[in-house]
Amino acid sequence: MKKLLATLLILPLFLTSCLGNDEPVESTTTLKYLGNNHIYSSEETILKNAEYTLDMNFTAMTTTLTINSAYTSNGEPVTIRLKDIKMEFSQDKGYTFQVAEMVPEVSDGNAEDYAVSNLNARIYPYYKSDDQVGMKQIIIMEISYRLGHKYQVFACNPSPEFPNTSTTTYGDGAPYETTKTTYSVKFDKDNKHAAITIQNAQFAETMPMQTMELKNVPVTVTQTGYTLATDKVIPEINGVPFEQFAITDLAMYVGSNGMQMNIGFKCQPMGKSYQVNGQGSAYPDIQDSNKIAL
Amino acid sequence: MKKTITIISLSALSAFLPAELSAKNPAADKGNEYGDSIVNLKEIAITATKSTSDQEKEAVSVSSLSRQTVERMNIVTAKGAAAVVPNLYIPDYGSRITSTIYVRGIGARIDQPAVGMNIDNVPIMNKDNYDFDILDIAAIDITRGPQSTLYGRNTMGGMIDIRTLSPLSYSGTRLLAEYGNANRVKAGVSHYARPTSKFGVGASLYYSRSDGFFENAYNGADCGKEDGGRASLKLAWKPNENFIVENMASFSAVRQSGYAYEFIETGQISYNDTCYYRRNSILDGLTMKWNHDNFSLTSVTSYQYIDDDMTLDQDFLPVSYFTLSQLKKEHAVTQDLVLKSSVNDRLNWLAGISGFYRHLSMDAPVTFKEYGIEQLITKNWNANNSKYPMRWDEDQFVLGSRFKMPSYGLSAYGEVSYQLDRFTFIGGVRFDFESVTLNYNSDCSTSYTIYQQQPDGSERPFRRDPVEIHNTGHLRRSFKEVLPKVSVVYNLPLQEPANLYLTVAKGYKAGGFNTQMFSDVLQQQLMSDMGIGQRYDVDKVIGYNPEKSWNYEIGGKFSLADGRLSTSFAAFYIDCRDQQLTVFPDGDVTGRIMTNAGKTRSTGAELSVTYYPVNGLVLNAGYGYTNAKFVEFNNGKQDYSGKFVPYAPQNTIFAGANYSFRVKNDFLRYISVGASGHGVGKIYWNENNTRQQNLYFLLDANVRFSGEHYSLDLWTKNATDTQYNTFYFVSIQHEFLQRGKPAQFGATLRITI
Repeated sequence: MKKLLATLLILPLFLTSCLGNDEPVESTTTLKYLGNNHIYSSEETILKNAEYTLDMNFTAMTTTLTINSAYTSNGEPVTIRLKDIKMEFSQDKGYTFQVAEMVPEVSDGNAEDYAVSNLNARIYPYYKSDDQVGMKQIIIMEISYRLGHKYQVFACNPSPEFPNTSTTTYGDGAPYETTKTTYSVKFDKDNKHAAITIQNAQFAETMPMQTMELKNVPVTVTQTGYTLATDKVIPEINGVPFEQFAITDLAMYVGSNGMQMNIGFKCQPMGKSYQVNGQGSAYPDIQDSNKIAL
Repeated sequence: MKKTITIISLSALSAFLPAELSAKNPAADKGNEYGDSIVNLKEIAITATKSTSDQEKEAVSVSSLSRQTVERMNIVTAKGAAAVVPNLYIPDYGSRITSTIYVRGIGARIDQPAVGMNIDNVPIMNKDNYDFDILDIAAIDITRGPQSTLYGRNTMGGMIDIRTLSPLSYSGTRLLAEYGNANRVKAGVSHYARPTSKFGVGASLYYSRSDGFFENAYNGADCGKEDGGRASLKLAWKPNENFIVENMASFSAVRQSGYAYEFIETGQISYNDTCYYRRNSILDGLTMKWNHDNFSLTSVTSYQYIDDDMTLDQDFLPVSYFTLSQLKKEHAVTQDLVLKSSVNDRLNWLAGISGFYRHLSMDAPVTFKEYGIEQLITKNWNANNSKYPMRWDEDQFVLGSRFKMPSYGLSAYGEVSYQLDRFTFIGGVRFDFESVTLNYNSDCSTSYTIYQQQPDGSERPFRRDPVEIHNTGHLRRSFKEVLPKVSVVYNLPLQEPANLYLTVAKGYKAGGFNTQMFSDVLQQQLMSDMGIGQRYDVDKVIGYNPEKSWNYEIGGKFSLADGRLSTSFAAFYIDCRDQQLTVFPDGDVTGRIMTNAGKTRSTGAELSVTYYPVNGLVLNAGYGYTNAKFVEFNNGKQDYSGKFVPYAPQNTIFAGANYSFRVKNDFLRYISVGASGHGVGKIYWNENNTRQQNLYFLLDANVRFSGEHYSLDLWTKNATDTQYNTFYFVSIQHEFLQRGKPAQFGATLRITI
């Protein structure tokens, strides 16, 4: 999933070309994303900074994809461009496009070495309630591909969000379930640590919802995604540490191109012991009426 | 022509005729023989403005109270009449701001009413203004079942139609003086005159007061103390037989202290902060009617203004949680035009258009006080974080909310009735549109400080957090409805009037915005900003959708034994969708969410009987049964399907007897003795049916001494001092009950000159 930075989002339909009364009017938009690439090869599995640019033409239903990233630990970033890729749109999936195999334009080196194959992309925009502006548009971008027949790559959001997950708390009595909790992750600049924010955390019916932040959790990059795990972390609520809510045995697994998440941890507030398990998707569960098109 | 005029007069607006002049049945004549000493629930036969047939022939359940009955039962408000009407429940709430009316399981506690109220043909737009004393009530008609086709919004349970004396049909001076326990005083004077044959004027002044029946245990103050009054002026002009104009203007004021809410845990009424309710209201209605040979055209225009101030100790406990103030000003104008055919043996019709505009301004601040801050905000934080305790920087702070809510509505309606032999077929439809807008402005400026505990046990400030909430918003909803009705009336081949009827009609209660929840919205936002609590979606929490119902009713009206015995009965089934329910949200909050429940269904039956076995004696009885349950209602935390709808009584019972006899004395001419009992219950107070009021009975009695120009009533209500509750609610997870009034007694003197 790629979550576009708000400052670079250009969301509504608008006309970018108007060449006089006789020229056809085209509807286009440009989306930019700054994040990470998850890169797996036989030699290493790493996260590298990446910049994705999509020039989308809604009239022709094509897009041009530009990727700037390094693909090895010590390599230099290179820009590759895939032009005029056919797009499709559906209410369920948003905008999707695929590339079976294509040799891109490259900024440096032999283009054949950067041949792209098995590229699958999905751009999914939706509205989300926001306390500041009322409703905020969010665009999920999921892109995975094979590069140079060597690297398996997917775009990895440095601040993914998993809204409305299913969370079950096991403690005294019957398990407590809620689907109102949102988990989000924010990577540090070095991608070695991240903070997990649990919004609307509620582990019992009588517990008021709280927003907890778990800071400085170590990140381990795995073949299919990454893991955030630690033996113990003190949550902060509104920037204040709550030692009585210490969380232990924390493990969050993110996979499936960064789209799916599983989390588990223990919490012992007020002398009681709880085991919390959650799972969710980056794709929200929303009604059709909330879906929008770019 | 003369006959036509007479017929029209009988079917015209009731304001143009007094009840006693239009009584048509022999029983009423017998009643009149004994003057004001007769109890008669069915003297009146006035056809309402919006009907294509005589009231007796209408396919609807209606209870009618004559002036004599109203005076004998000491009725000055609609809720006073509820005791004798099957399946109608208007509890004495203790506050004049709320009229909780339930009919056949359909009702409302806040916001939109389920039952409409007309006073001299003027529809009262705001339910907060339903409860005030009215002098010189000429008649009250209470119709049960949806009246939405002809009367539109907020009449899905029925209509209460109150008519006062008209100067064109009554002349004289009337004086009222009453005294009862709890220092209850009522005093009134009215004068009706016809300076010319074409012009009449009536004016009245009324005052009432009471110390209330309960005491606030915290400070010993009277609870439910009240002062109020009303002034009215009625002008009527009838320049010729075909045109009549009447204007009714009134001003009323009420000042109430305290609310007699008993905390269930302690059984006490005890709270420390100020509670009061003050209201001024103005009502002006202009009715004009023009009669043509073949039709009549009636216009009813009204202006309504209400200005009230409610301040509550919102926790109703002797601790300082918070207080709420609600200052409201509302202007409303209504216009109704009704074109109606002259009464015809076969085909009758009416058509109308109506509209309204309301503008409500409200200021509703909630003041959080020291104990409330600690219990609702900081306590939870400090219990879970002793190393970083929180302290509020002030003893109290205000969550301010201001609203402006303009709304308007337009509708067109019509009804046709066609008589074929013994059958009368009636069909009607209404097209209704309404739009309501809410502009809100909420703010809160306060702060708290988080401290850090030091190793030596001392505390030093860790961080000071200001709280600045400034929200403005604009919400709008509009509603469109088509409201049909079909009825069939069959006139039985009996010597005396008797009919059976079947009615199918759609009912409708408008949607809107419940501003009571705004303080809770702000409270949750404040706590969410602190990291604890969840923000509410304003539109989802504040807004609610219309309530709709399909009503199926069969019934009949019979008159037997030369009119000595009259009875009416009905059985009904109501299928209600998106019923508007008042629920108390989770957590330590005080507001009430108006939510739309999935489905409810209500079924039941009613019976009313009036019997004059011998001259001077009248017996009457009424019974209503309602079984109202949720068919589907799951609020996300609990499934209430199969539970009884709260606040709707399952049984309403009335039985009364009155005997009058002539006294051979020039000064004292009649003595009348009467007694009546009415019962209500079981009433469930909440959706999960864990709290209830069982069936209870109240006994009333009165003795009347009357002469040519006076009457003196000695009366008692709830003579056995039955203890019961009329209301229940929850505030910050505390449960409260409103006690019913204890035994009351008094004397009422009426003089007519």
